[in-house]
Order: sequence, then structure tokens, then C-alpha cells
Amino acid sequence: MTRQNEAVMQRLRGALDSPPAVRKLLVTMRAQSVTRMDLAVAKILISERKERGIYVTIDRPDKHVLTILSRHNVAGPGEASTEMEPAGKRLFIAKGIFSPAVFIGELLNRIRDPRSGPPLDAELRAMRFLLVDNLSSLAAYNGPKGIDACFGHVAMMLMQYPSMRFIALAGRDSLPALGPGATAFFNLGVEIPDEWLMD
Amino acid sequence: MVGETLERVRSGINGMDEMMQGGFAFPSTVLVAGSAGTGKTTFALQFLARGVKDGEQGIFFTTLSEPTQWMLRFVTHFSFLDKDTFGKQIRYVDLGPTLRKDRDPDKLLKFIDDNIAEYMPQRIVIDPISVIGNMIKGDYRMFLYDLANHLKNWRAVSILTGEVLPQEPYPVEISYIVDTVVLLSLGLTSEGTRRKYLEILKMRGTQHTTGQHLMDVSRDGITVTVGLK
Repeated sequence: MTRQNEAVMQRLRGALDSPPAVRKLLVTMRAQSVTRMDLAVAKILISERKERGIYVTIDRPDKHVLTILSRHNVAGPGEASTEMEPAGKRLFIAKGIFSPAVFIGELLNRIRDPRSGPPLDAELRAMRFLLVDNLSSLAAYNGPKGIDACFGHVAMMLMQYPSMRFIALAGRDSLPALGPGATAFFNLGVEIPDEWLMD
Repeated sequence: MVGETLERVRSGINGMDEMMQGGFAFPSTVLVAGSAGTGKTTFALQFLARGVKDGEQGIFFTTLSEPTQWMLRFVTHFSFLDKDTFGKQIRYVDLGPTLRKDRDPDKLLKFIDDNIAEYMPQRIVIDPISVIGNMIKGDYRMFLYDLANHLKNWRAVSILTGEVLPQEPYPVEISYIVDTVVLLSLGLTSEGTRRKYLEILKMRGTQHTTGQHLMDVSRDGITVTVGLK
């Protein structure tokens, strides 16, 4: 691993070591590096720390994400699933195409209404993170109302599950399009400098 | 303005970014079409070399089964190409053996996906894509459709180069699946000199310059002079 890569990993680890009160973490970098940084964050959470959680992809098929995580030995089909089931895998990869709000809304409805499927509450209580892989895309598909709805759903999820953290990655140039409410939502922002991504 | 919210990457082609609001939309798929000798491979390499300068990684898939050393021999005289980046920031992958062995579009897609998954590049080139149509079994259009969808999932800018047949201005079956079509062509000036031209035929989400513009290929690569026709 190069010094630059190690610097990136150390900054991410430092951010993820934040006190439990820091539950909403935004990692920004240039847009071209978001995919690589998604993988780096997933490596730390899943491979290094063995945490359980939900990986929501906004603009890619869930199976595509599973292919990448499997290829890089982060989580193979034995550990990750694209189907949310009780007593399931360590990682649930969810499609949040257009907005994670739809997926989170369905999840919350399922928890509130036991008739809607097998119980998931215990499963979700064991999960430590809700990761959104490219928040930049939210502004491409949603107006201000849709963006607000997304953060509203995330807030409800965090209230329901106090052990869960929300981690989002975004290209830094997309932040103005997301609006001031988006950056204000987070309690910690981590910037990855371009010169660390040069190798 | 159209496309203001789109992220962009610089093309690497001297003078071209000014024609398209600063660069190619990121992510997107681009067809660079032209007849033999118009500069398609040079265009693709210059695009990858720009990526290296901007701290990005590239992957160059060739379908011609041309050994790396021969490809490099012909292109290393370009000043924009740093030989030390080959095999590191720019990976070279030969699709020829997979194409010849199976002629199976699904296996070819998987091979492409596996390589991209390993290197996670921000810039991808397949040069030339049009050869695949003659080599695979099954529906070429369906393969192109699947390929375009796969490439878009990688959050990269992908350039497909396409050979233009004498009876068509550009490969129609590819042009409808990509976001951008760039046409490289040869033409005679009024003085009877043969010159090269670059034209952006289509670019989704971007206000781009239209018409043919004079293009020159030198040791520094391709330079487009906007307005000169």
C-alpha cells in the first residue's frame, strides 16, 4: 500500500473512530474517486471491524455492488445478501435507486407492521451502519423536497436504531446541488484531499 | 445552462474541452468513430494519459490481439504518454483470447467486468468495439446494450472506438447506446490537401459545439482548432 493510500485509510479510520454521539458522517472527495472510497469505507467497516450493516446504492444495481465487494474479499455471497431476511448475513445491500428514502420507508413500514413480512427488528438492532454510496446522485434525481424526504427517513431510522450510524460518501462539487440542509444534517465531515488520491 | 450539475473529466484532447462545457460528463459512455487512420486509438490513449495526470486510473481493452509491446512501440513517441504509467495507472488488457476461444458474449462481458472490478478505473477504453460484432456468436446489438449498461455501472467515462464502414457515416448500432458520439473524419480542403476533422455529433446533457473542426495530430497528440474548418 502506498503512503497516499495509507493516509486515506487512516483518515477514514479516524473518522469512524469518532465517539458514539457522532452518528452522521459525510465523507467527501472528488467525484471520480467516490467508487474507490466506497470500497475503502466498506473494507474498514466490514473486513477490519466485522461490523454488520446496510449498504444502500443509489445509482448501481445491488448485485453489481456485491460483485465488487466479493472481488475485493470484503463480503462475498456468504456474508452479504441483496435480500433482507431475518437472521441473515452480515451485510445487506439495498437498491436505493433515485433515493434511499423509498427503501428506508419500506423497511420502517415492515418493522411497524408485523403482517408485512418476517420480523426484522432484532436484525436491524444488531446493525451498526447505514452506508449510502454516492449521495451526489441524490441531487441528480431529486428536487429539494425529495432530498429533504431522504434525510427525514434517515433521521427516523437513526431514532429507531440508536446503535446505527449513517455514513454517506459524496463528490465535494455536488454539495451545493444537495442544498445547505444536506451538509447541516451531518455532525462530522471528512474531506479526502486530491493529492492523496494521485496514485 | 444545460448540464451544469454534471461532473466532468477532461478529455485530454487539446482544444476539445472548450467545445463541451469543460469535458466529458462523468460517468458516461462515448463512441469515437472514424475510418482507418483518423486517430481513434491516439484519441483514446490521450484520454487515458490525461486521466493519469489528474490522478485517475485507466484500463485499455484491445480487441485486436495486438501484443502490448507492439502497441507501445507505435505510440510511445507521443509526448503525452509516460511509458512508466503503462501497467500501473494504465492497464492494458487483451480481449482477443477470450473472443477467439469462446465467442460467447456473456463470457466476454464477465471478463471485462472482472478486469474493471479488479482495477476500479475511472477511465475505460475498448479499442475497437466494432471488431466484436464479427467475432461473437449471438445478437451483437443485445451485447452492445448489455455492455453499455455494465459500463455505466462502473461510474467511469468509457470510450468505445468504432470503425466506420464506407456506406455509413458512423456505426449506428453503437451510437444509440452511448451518451456521446465523436466523429473523426478525413476530408479534402479547397486546395486539395487531405485534412483531419473532429465533430461532436451527440452529447447528452451538454451544450456542445457543432460542425466539423480541423484537427491536427502531432507529437503532442491531437489538437482541435475550434472554428477552423
